Amino acid sequence: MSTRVVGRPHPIIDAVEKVSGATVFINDLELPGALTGMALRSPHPHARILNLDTMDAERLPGVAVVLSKNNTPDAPFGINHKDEAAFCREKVRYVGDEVAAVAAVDEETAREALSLIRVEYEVLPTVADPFAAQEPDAPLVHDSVAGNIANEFHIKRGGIDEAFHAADATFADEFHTHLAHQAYIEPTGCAAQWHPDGKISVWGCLQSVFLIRTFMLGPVMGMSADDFRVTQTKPGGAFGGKLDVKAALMAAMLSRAAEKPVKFMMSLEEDLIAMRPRMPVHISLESAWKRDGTLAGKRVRIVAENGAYSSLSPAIMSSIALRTDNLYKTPAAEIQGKLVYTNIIPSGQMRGFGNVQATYAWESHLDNVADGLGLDPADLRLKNYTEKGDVSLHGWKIASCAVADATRHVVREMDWKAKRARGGEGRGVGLASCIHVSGNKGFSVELGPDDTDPSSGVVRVDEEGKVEIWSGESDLGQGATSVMAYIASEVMGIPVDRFKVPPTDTGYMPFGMGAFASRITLIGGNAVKIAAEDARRNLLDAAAEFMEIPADELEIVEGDVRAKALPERKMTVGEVVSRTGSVIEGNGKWLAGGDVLDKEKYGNPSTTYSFSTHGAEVEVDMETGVVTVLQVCCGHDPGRVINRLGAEGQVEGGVVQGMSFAMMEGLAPLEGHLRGRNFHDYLIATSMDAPPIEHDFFESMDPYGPYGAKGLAEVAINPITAAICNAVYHATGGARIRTLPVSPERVLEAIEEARNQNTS
Amino acid sequence: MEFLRAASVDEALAAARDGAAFVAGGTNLVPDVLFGRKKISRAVDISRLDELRYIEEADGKIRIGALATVTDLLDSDLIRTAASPLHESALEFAGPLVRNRASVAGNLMDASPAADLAPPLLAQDAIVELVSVEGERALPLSEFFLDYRKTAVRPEELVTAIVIDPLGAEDRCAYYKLQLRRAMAIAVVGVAVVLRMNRGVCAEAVIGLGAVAAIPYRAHAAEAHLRGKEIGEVEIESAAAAAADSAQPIDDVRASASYRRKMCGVLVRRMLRKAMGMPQTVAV
Amino acid sequence: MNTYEINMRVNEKDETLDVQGDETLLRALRRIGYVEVKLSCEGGDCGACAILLDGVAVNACLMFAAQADGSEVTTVRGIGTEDDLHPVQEQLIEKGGVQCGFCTPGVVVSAKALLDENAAPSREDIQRGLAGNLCRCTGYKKIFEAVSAAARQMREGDDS
Repeated sequence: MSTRVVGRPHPIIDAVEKVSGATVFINDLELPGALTGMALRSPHPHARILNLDTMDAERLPGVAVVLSKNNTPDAPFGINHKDEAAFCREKVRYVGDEVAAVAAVDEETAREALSLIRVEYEVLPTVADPFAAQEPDAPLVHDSVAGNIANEFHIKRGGIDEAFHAADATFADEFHTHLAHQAYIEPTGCAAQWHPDGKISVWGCLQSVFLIRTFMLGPVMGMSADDFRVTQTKPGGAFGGKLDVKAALMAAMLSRAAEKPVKFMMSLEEDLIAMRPRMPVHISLESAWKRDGTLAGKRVRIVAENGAYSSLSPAIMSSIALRTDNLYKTPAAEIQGKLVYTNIIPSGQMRGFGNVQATYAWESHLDNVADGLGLDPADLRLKNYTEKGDVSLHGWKIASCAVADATRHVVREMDWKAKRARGGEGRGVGLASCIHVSGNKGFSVELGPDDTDPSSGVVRVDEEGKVEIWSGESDLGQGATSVMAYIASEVMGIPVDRFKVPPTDTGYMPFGMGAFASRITLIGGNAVKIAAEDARRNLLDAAAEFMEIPADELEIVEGDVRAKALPERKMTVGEVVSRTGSVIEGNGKWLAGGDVLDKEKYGNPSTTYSFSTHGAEVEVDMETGVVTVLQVCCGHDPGRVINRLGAEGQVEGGVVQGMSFAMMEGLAPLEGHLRGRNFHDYLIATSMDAPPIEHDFFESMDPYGPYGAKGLAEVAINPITAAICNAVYHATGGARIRTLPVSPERVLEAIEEARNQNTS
Repeated sequence: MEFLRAASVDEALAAARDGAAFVAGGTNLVPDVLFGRKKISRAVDISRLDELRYIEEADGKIRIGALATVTDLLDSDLIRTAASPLHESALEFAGPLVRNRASVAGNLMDASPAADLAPPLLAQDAIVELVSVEGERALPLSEFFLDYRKTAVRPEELVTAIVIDPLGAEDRCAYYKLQLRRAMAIAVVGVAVVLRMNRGVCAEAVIGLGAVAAIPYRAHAAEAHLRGKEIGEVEIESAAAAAADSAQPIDDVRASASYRRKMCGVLVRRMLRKAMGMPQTVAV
Repeated sequence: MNTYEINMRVNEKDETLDVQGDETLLRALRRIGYVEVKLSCEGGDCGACAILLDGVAVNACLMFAAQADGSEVTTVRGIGTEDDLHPVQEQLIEKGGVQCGFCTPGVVVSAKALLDENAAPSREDIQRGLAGNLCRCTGYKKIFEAVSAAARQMREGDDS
């Protein structure tokens, strides 16, 4: 189907305000009379609070309110486990845990007030290591949770033991990932304004304005979700990290207590030590193979570091456990997972939702397998990839799939065969693939209104012919709402520049789950597409009356309603709306497909799935271990590209973010204290680190997606870590990076390890 | 905190007293004050003292005014040709936004073990010129750093210039900064070597090392293996081993002590080979 | 409390304000409404607060405000606004070099400073010129393309 808008390159719709510095981020929001909110955070990884005295702080002139366990109800909250409180009660469980909060006239006073809060701690032994935490005599992070095990599961599917018995070859590996932060440049913050009727307005850089009310604000504050009007300010990056934002709770609680507006801005340091960074995991893999490279089965054991509180971590662990099994035709699998509490910052979701970690481990393992079987790593993958129409071992239904095309692209563009034939002298190539959901039905149970994963949209055309789209799905800067505008523009025949999509607002917008799980283009896009079709119909019906031509003989072209047969007979869309005396609206709702998984985690969690393959060429300094990524080459299957410029931006941004994670990032906990507390100890890629990236899209035209589109944000990041590690393996003649990041020191150790193995 | 802008060096010195600090580029001091890492009662702003901002050749020396910025180093032909390790270190120094403010003296006064400019300045026998109301004095940079974040500069003293010996046509040199990303990074190891050659013999060898001890320092023991010698494989291997031996690094968020020590040897060897135009033992 | 009256010319507008001795230029600028200068790391590590100080690109967080007394400050809005965009801004839009937009004001400042010095920068020149500006969204590629295109646009504008 030929398209006018879809598939072409467009700037994001709010680019002008962004490049001119006019965008109002949360810290730029002015609330007259707002107090400054600040938190007192635990200095200890693990300690009992013996006494907490806020009297001096309360007496300090300029202090409006001091909140702590002393004057707030015990209202535990949490998405999976109710293991978290607004303020620490009997114990602090990580460095950064909120002990108290103040609202004061200015930052200086607030800071002084914090210094006047006296906390007497009994320091307890720190549980920092997830393996030591499982020992029988280990201290307990939560006194009621034996063995520090937050979650545990064990699944066997497809005759795994027989698969291993019958295998021609088996392989085993272990991999460890590190604690890494989303590291958006905008520190997190929220503002709140209490109103005399008891309702509270909240603003913040949030990924989901709807969900924060239902899983955090409402339950903790003893109010109904409807008591809050939550408005998104454009996030300065989020990447998963701005989904469960405790700053919203702090601001709202302080505002209610002070009966004044409060702004609660976190410093970068607070953000790094007290948000929800990407979960570190320890993954053991065993796989069974036929001699020709056919996968026969796999065993996975996962120990996932929960940190002090759970939030979405159980779901992340599931994702790590199951996901890669669906990328290849996997006849049998055994999966064990343990989620372990420690006295470290609670881990959480970051772009990939566990799949970055899982893909790193499995795709690294695959190259070891290829090596062992004497097969080319690309060929091994091509032999085993899932295909359209497959139902995976776990029940995933593959509705569209172009991963093989993506891999062939990488192989061709990188001159793979020639480069693989060389290697071993400090230069090499590697590749890796991934599968990802476009929305996840599991969240609908944990977070949603019921067991649906819905999105809805309203499209409103005004008398000037301008169109505003209301969707509950938020833009995090990735251009998600621009995608909605392009879809609606395509449907309605109205030029893109007449569209506006305001930031999400629970006050007037229809429900949406928010930005996560690569769900917006598919689910939000479908809802908006339906709404746009409705609006178009309503426009044509109105015009039909005014123009005295049947609606089905009219069309909308470039913002004009005109007779198909006689294009000179036309009205502008604005004129049509004007004559109706009202706005013209369209409504749409779309429910995601797929299933809620059963107790054995069987089922089809997403409507459809996206794929990608990343290839990397690296140079390794064999004496220092310094790795330089010379080029990255990728192929992505996003179903259909809606906005080419935005899609390319997702890929390039995902690749560099993934490379950065792989090579230089890390909060670097040491005995419970994080060492990456600023942007010179927590490193992210600079412009100097960005490699040349070549990439293309392989459009599988998904049957469920709007114009065939599915998610792209996360397939853009998942495989790059393994691609780099596999390239290092190739370049060094066998240095396998089993623990991230790929730091020079780690690489050098791996080179020496490989050398020792080769000589022994 | 009191703030005072000095209109002259004399005014700056008069304002210096206990608890006061000079602020020039501010790239270290300002965040240190903001985050409470340093408490100062008075900031004496010397950033407008243009008389301290110059790079010039005089009496066979290169004189670098205390307030010359790192960008000034990069823009200077004199530095590029007659102090190339310093030029290269400036190229690897933070990013342009910081380089535009950070002064040469400030980088030394911050006394970070990883101060980027210290190894190349050490390697060119830098002398630090100081002034106070008591008078002037000069101090070799090798005696400037006393201990972790501690210098020989007295509270009321101001660095006015850094003086180095330019590289001659025969002299050999090399610089390397091992870092975890390609810009805006604190050095894991910094190495600068300068070999003053006379008819094929190394008349003087100076090796400046950064981030492998509490202070940037000269690897005297390593230098001794080179001085007075015709430099070949044996001398280089001995010097590299001595440099690694001399290191007293720590474990930190960037690297372990053992890696740093090892790299100290690897990089000194590499830089000596590079300076001498010898092929590397491993492709670099 | 030590406060000082300082004068600056910000985006060609005279500003007189009282600052505390230890107040950073970044905080002072934001306090008087120049919130387009972004606050993030406050340690000179991210470049979100980049401004031109007497024409030179610097981090506003790394100076005491009082040090800027008598200076000319240019923020992203002094370089171009919605109705009068600078070529760097136009090309960031066209080439897709902006996503969340938080680093963008600083990127515009650094890119403008680069192009003022180098009318035809190579890819490496651009990489070096932007090395102090962290961007977490774009992967930088489209920013490089935008700066390159802006340079071309400005050169062509000069020719005409």
